[in-house]
Amino acid sequence: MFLIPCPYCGTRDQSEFAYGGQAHVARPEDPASLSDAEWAEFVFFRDNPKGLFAERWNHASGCRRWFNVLRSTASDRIYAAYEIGTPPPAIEGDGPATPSGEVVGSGNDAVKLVKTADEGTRP
Amino acid sequence: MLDPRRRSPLAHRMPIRAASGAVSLAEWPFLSKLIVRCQAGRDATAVEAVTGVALPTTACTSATAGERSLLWLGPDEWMLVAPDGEAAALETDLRAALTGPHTQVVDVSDYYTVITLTGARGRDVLARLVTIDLHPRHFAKGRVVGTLAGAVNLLVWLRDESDAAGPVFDVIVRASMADHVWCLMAEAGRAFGCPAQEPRGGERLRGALEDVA
Ligand SMILES: [Zn+2]
Repeated sequence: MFLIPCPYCGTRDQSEFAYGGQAHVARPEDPASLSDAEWAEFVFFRDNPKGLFAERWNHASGCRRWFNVLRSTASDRIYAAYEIGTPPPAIEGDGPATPSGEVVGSGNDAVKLVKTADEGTRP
Repeated sequence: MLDPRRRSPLAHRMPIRAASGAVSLAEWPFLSKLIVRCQAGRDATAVEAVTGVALPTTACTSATAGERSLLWLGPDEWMLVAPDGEAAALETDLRAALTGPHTQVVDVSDYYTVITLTGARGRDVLARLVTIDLHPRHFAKGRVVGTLAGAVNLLVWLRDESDAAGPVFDVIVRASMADHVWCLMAEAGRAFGCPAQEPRGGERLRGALEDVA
């Protein structure tokens, strides 16, 4: 559970919100001209990054408005909440990364940090 | 025309009062309630001309004039509450006054009912049910929030507060959930001496309280 800053009501508990998946997925201008593969790409395929992810939330129990959130899927840290129709703010980085490129903040951090300092030797 | 046979959703519940006097619950039946959707910048004067209440544009606040109030529900959505019997005329007048695009006026008087919670420990009762910060510093007179209690969406409105009477909360809840929320609030008030209330549907209340504790 975490707190989500609704751009209209302020910070509220996650239980008041409903999740809406990846943000900024534009509907194709001319769906009829798409191949089946391209249409399937639009309908079914979504990014699944470890790290910063722009996603839609709905304040279902509060003002019932949709908005976008920039969240790290690794640490659940929320970097920004912004209105639908506006581009995501430019956010620099997401904390220190491990040698394999993973974001610190998920899994066993102690092990990852040790690996960072000692080139892969486990304690 | 108001039907003389009408029954409010909590007509089967008598008002309850904790022995300590610190918590009281009563239904406020038949209050007129209308959902008003419009653009604040364009329509505020039209709404005020009909209702006599200035449209509150700050999130989670309300404005009151006489016996009417406008509650902020969203950036383009308000609830107008007014005395019993005024809904039909207000709906007609507001629809005539709000002619622009993206406007809507709907009479929801029968869709919601109001549970009024009074007494010095009102904040403590609600604090067991919702995750909202109810401290007077954050939740002052006039504040209204939509939130979640257990599995139920409701509006919590601090209609009035004075040193003598303490806080006066109005919990605006959908009619079908009214009995559940009534019993939930009584259960949350047990610590302050509220009598137990058995839900008409027979559901367990303790679990719902533990979920948010
Ligand atoms: Zn909100």
